[in-house]
Amino acid sequence: MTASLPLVPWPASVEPREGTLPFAALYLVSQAPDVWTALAAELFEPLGVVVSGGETVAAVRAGWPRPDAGGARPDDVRRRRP
Amino acid sequence: MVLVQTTFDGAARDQESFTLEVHEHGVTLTAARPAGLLHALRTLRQLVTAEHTVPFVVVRDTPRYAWRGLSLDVVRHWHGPETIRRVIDLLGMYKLRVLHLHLTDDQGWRLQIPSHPELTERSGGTQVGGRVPAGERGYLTVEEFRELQEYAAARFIDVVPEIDLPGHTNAATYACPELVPGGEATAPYHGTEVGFSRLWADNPATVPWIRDVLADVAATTSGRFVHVGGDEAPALDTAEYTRLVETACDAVRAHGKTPVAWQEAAVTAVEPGTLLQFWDPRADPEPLLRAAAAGARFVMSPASHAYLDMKYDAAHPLGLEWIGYVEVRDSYDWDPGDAIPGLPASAVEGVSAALWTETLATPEHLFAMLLPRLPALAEVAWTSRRSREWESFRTRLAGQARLWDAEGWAWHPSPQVQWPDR
Repeated sequence: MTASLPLVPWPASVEPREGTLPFAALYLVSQAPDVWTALAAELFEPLGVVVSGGETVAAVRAGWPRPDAGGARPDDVRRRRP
Repeated sequence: MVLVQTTFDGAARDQESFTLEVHEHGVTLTAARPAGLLHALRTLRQLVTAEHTVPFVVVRDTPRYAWRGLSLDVVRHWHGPETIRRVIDLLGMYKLRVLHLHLTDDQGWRLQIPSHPELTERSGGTQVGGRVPAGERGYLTVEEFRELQEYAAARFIDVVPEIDLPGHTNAATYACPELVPGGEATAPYHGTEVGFSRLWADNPATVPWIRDVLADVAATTSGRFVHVGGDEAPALDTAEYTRLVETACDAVRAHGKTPVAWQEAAVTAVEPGTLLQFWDPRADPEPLLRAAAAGARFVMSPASHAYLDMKYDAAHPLGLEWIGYVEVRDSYDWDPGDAIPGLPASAVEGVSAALWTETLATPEHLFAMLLPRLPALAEVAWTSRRSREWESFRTRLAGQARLWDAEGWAWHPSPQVQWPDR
């Protein structure tokens, strides 16, 4: 267990890795963006994080991949999962 | 801008489990069901630093108990829909799934009952000390209760209404004189004593009234559970108590719901699946063990750990102290599996904090008692016993204060935690 990650409640499994991701703004890809983008905004906007979102196709239409996303497209992210 | 990708994985273990991966290309959230996906988003939120970065990490998670909740008294002092929504937001932040609303007691009646509108017409506006604040109605209409449940359901939180009987009933006997032998209504009650009020089993009006009220409550409840109280009824003998609690549980089941009752109901003929809420560690455990053998399941709210209306210490201006003081570590350092000696671990349904409001009149009062102790109980309910450790928890808890401040929530700076400078 590491207390360096401020997670409450503590999860079943945590594997810290080297590095950090800039997180001033997020684009949430979901199957129901009217629901999930609103929930994400409720969670993240009080922290000053800008939230937008859409379905996978809409994400591509919105300009993904972007340079600051490391060249990844939404579909790439899905394919990289084991 | 960071890409956060959500996916559903049917192979995941249950509806609340999830995986969160933060990597160089963005964030991937995977869950079997929407509830797990929202837990993943909430976990991600806790990882956001003040500098707007998130560490690379892989989190795989699933809860220990399904019932992780808060029992909230909105009777002793009225707390309306807007405050309840903020409490639901807080429950969500710590992955709690149940909001149990204590809606009736000696001091007031907080839910409109279509078959007995006099309950809220006469007892909706009373509370400890007199009347609810000017401009407040003092109760939830049926429509407001539906809207609250919808707000909670959108965050995967169930609302469990409680109609407390056969004790804690002065608001009912004030509003409905037919419930009193002789037909003379009791006087309204604005104090904080318990144990004096009652229903009468032999009164012909009592059982039909119980059935009417619980039918209306069941009809307006979207979740599985209706709480029928059953606590602190010393004015009734065991036979009368048993008859009325069993009537209430039968009425709840007749409308397709599962009854929940306080631990005193263990002396009744408990049916399998009934939930009993354990609150008083001073009580004889034998009836509880017999109820467990009959198939009852237990929600653990031991007052010495989970009653968040207890003062943090002698100097704290809010709260009560009948079970002693409850500091953050008291809320953290216990295990639900040990709460009732001899109870099989398989009989534990989960954990509920409880917040009674005899001394808590404002939203700031509520949040200052909930924070920082509610996150401690949330971890007790979610995290396995072997993965919990106080020193780690208190360090992680300190990191939560920034989130509470961002929401504008009041919180108590317990000296047991080294808080960051504000």
